[in-house]
Amino acid sequence: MEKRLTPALRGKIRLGITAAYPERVLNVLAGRGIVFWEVDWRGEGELSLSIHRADYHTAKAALDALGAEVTVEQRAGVGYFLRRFRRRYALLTGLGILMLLVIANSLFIWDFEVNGAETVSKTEVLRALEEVGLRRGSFAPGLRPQELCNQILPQFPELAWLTVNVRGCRAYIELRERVAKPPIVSEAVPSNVIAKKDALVTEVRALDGEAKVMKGMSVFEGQLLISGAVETKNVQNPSVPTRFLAGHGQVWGRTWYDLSVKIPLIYEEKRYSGERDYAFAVQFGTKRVKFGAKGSSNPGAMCDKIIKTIPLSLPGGFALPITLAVETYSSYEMHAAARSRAEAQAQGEALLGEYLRSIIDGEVRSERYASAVEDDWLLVTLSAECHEQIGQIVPIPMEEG
Amino acid sequence: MERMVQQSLRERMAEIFDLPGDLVAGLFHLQMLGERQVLLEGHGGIVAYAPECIDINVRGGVLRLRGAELTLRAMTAEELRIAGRIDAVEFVR
Repeated sequence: MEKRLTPALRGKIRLGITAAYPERVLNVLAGRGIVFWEVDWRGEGELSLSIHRADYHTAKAALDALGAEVTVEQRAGVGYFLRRFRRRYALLTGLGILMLLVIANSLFIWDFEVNGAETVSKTEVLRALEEVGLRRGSFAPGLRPQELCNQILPQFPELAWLTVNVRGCRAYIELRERVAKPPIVSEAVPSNVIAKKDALVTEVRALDGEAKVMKGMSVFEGQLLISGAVETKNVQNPSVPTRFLAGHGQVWGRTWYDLSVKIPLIYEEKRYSGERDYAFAVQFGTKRVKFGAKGSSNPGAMCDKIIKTIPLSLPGGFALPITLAVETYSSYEMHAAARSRAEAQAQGEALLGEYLRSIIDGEVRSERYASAVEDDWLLVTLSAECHEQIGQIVPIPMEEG
Repeated sequence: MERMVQQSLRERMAEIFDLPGDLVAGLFHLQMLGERQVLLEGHGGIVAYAPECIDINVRGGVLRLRGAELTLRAMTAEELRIAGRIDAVEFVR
């Protein structure tokens, strides 16, 4: 590789030499420190060899002094290749303009990448940034990340920090979201713990307040479980019969659920006809140029539109302000399709199981599914027993005075 | 005469003290890669060049390489590399 690359970059000249004593030619060249290679012995007094372009004049002078006849047989290398273009002024001007455009282009922002957004919408962040002046085509050196941060953070209480880094034509928006505060139990507000659903109590942990239920009792939704109003029974100071506390604690109980869902056995599904239309668009910065017939972007209702955008960049990740958009329109028709009972039941069980786990604050002890066909529907029913925490803290309404 | 004696003395010193002869006494250093290539350091120029025979001037005589399709791959003032099928290496005084 190196053997080929070095002559290609430095330039190589192939010389044909005729001399009375060709050996002396080699000795003289070696003595002058001229590197040569690819020596080809052609016969009596004739040989050819390759030297670097820079050594040509030294070699020519040395060989002329020897009385050797020297002819240049071949010139190769980058230098000779580029010399071909030295009189092509239009090409050189075009290259110069292109380089200037690339340099100028690198001073503007044409693309965005948002990192660190987990709960905050990236689109909303970008829209807010656009409102405060950071948009496609913004002048990158004029960017003030701290000012942007100060303007954006009040709009997003979920964000703790924001900064904008620019590399090439792309702005990297780094976000850090605020860690949510845990709920703080106020000791000052008197409160009760009530049941949030019907249950059979299995365990009561009254951390403050007075337990009003015991293990084994059935409770109804809204029933008082732990009371924050505690009777003092203070015989010495009978004017204060009740003390109000911030009652809190956990009450665990067995709960039962009967959930049902109807799954259609006959439904409509999309069936693609295989007919596809394409439309193309090129976006330069904020300008969008569309190719294709007028109205091609709205071919009809029974059609899926899929847009694929391809941001163009130079090798090395240097983003360009050009984005290609390919819009694919796939036509479809709605057809009635049948679903087997087993499929419908599996779908219903998955839905019910997922819903059940989303509404309980504990674990599922047992679950049983049943199904029945009703016309074109399958009714799937879930009967489940759970063990969960049923207590809910509610403040005690206090009247002033 | 005096220079030859000095040279011989240097060669003997290099031999006694087990020093590299090519550095101390200016002797040539020949390396062969099988029968396909020869690398010679410390040469004094090419005396004769033909695809069947290459004579190289070295200290104390001429080194003759005989073979077939012998070619000079590269050459500098200090070293040269010859490739081809090498049948014999002779030292001609």
